[in-house]
Amino acid sequence: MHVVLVGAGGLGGPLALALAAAGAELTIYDDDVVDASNLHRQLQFTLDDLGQPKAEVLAQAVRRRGGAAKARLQRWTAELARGASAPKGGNVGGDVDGDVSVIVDGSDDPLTKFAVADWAAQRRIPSVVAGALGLGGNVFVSAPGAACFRCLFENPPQEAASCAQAGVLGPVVAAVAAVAARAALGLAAGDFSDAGSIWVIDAWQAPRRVPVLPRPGCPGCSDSSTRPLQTPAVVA
Amino acid sequence: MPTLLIPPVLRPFTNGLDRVEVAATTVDQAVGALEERFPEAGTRLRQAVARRYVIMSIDGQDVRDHGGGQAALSPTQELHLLWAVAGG
Repeated sequence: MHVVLVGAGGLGGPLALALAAAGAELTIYDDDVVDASNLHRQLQFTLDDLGQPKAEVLAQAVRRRGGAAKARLQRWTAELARGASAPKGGNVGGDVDGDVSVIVDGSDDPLTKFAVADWAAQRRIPSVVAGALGLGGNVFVSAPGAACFRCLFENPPQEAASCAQAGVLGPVVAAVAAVAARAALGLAAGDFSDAGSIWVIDAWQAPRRVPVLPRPGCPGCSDSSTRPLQTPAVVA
Repeated sequence: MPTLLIPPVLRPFTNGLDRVEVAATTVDQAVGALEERFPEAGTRLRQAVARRYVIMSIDGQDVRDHGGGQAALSPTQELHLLWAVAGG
């Protein structure tokens, strides 16, 4: 089970540890370095890690626990994804090695989330896109034939605050990551019952699952085997 | 009355309420009722809808596919506000 994990921060940390402990071999993408302001929610890092590449430090943490992980010190972008040429079905070359069972996004910006979701829809690879902010978050689960991320959110928002800008309660990222990890493991095991739904997580309530129907003409997933995807040009 | 489920990002403008009952039979009326009671919350919701970073859903059905603002709301239904969350 090869899982590509995009983002090694607040969501990526618990995601990586949970997925690797369940037997996933991880490829972790992140181009950021550890900052002191991360430590309240990115529990995989310590003061000793300040200034170090997040993806590498997280991959080391996974390996110290007996798991398998390699780091890619790159931001996942639409351009990188296009270079990761993959025949339909999941054999991926270019910047991503090997078969991909699931791709999971725990990044901190909307462009990356859409790039991950588009790549997965185009390659017909199951995907999980997670986000957290303030006191809540959500987890979008997709697989071939089910609604994709663009079926719900058509384009990246014109304004979207990151955790670094707007803050996030530390335990919220762990709660969101737990839901995302469970969804990813389900997809990897061939259980697509969550595909085409969004989990809404709130610090004060139980998670809610909201089904999402495929949107006719969606540029993300309709006719995805033949048509190249549009990449949003500008996000304010 | 139908219930609006308020996401955390809007709660500073609803006195912390996470659910608001509204006298409404359509989505537009529900948003209007929210705005009447909590003007700042209503304004922010309208801005978010216009910028397409919130999607409204009734019983798991995207309201865009069911008449948009004219989508019907029954007294027992909940209107979910699904906010695009980009942090991580």
